[in-house]
Amino acid sequence: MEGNTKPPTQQTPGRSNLHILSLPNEIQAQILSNLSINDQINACKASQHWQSLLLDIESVSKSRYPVRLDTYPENLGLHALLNCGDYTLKLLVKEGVIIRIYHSPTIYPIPDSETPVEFIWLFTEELRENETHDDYFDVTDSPFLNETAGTPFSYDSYSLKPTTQEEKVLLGMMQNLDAESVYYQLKFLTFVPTDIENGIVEVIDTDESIYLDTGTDSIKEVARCIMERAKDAIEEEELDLKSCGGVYLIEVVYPELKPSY
Amino acid sequence: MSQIILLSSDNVEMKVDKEVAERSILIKNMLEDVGETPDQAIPIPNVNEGVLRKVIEWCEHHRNDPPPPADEDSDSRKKSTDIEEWDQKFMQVDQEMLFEIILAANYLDIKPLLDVGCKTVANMIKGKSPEEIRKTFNIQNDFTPEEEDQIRRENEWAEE
Repeated sequence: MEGNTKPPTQQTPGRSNLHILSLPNEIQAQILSNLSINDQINACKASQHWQSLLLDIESVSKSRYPVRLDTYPENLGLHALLNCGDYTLKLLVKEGVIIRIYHSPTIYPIPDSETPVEFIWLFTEELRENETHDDYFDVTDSPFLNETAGTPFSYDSYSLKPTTQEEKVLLGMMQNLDAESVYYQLKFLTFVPTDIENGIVEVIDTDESIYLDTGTDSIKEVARCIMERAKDAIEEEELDLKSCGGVYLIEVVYPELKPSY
Repeated sequence: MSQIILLSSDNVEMKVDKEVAERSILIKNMLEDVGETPDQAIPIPNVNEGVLRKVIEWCEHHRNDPPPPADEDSDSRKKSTDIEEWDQKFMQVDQEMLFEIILAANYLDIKPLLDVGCKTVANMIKGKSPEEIRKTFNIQNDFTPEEEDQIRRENEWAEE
């Protein structure tokens, strides 16, 4: 068993000693790995023992980030990349998939001393029609902050096994796509550790939304088109995909919206 | 069809079709080691009569299910808490029995039953706040006041 995870003693009054925290750690880990990332965040806050299971057991963290981007021996993770300064990090999670990532602007660009430090969303949109504040999770202080780089976009529902870095990213993106759509609006967020030693990271938001006419409703072809576009976007920034801390497709899909070029 | 006898931890004998009992990999391996259908009861020391009956009921219902993939790893396992209707009803038991079934499935090495049990518990966690989770499972809050404050601060934003 991985991790230092001694369960605390807890009893259910008036009943036998059998309590969820008295189950073997392997079983508790299996239970937790069935949870989506937002439910894992809540479970993490419910019990210290679960917090340590969620952090220490590899099979559980894998369930959180099904696609690993093991680019850096330094094990810089998504949250670790952002964990360099005064910031707030929030996730919008829908059905276990991270749809958008919000953070304060104090990482990049660094505001000058006269700029009042306000919380500015990376994406300044108002809440969408069906969204509520409850859909957002503040993970600024989440213990998941220092996990190894990974993308939360799952690919396993497509029964595909990525072999290359690019395929991993591509397949990760497919999770967010609507298979029936031809048109997409995309935004990419790229994390680039410019100075690993000092933990300096640039978070690059490709300014403009990208309208993409894929000309097909084949999910694989759509994903491929999007991947190509992502690579173009990265090249425009003169970045090497393989040197990125992660490329996160964080905004997709207005399937009904026909773009006006 | 040949039958075998299982002996629960509280010394109750139960006659079961061998095919049904062999849903348990532990029992299947034991029977293979013995080489023939044993006349004597097979002791199941960790499982009492009530739980063993429930486990056998599950095995009876799933006797014709295909065996689970041998090399199923956590990477490829689909993260889903979908449970088929019969299993959902089967798992409508109190928490103690649910945990007993999970432990028995683990001990007897009946992976599909273990999966169903774990998914059932996961479904009880889904969509709940930390406090609701604690209440559901009677978990003591073991965070320090400082850690509690931090959690409260995190929640303030969502309540704005």
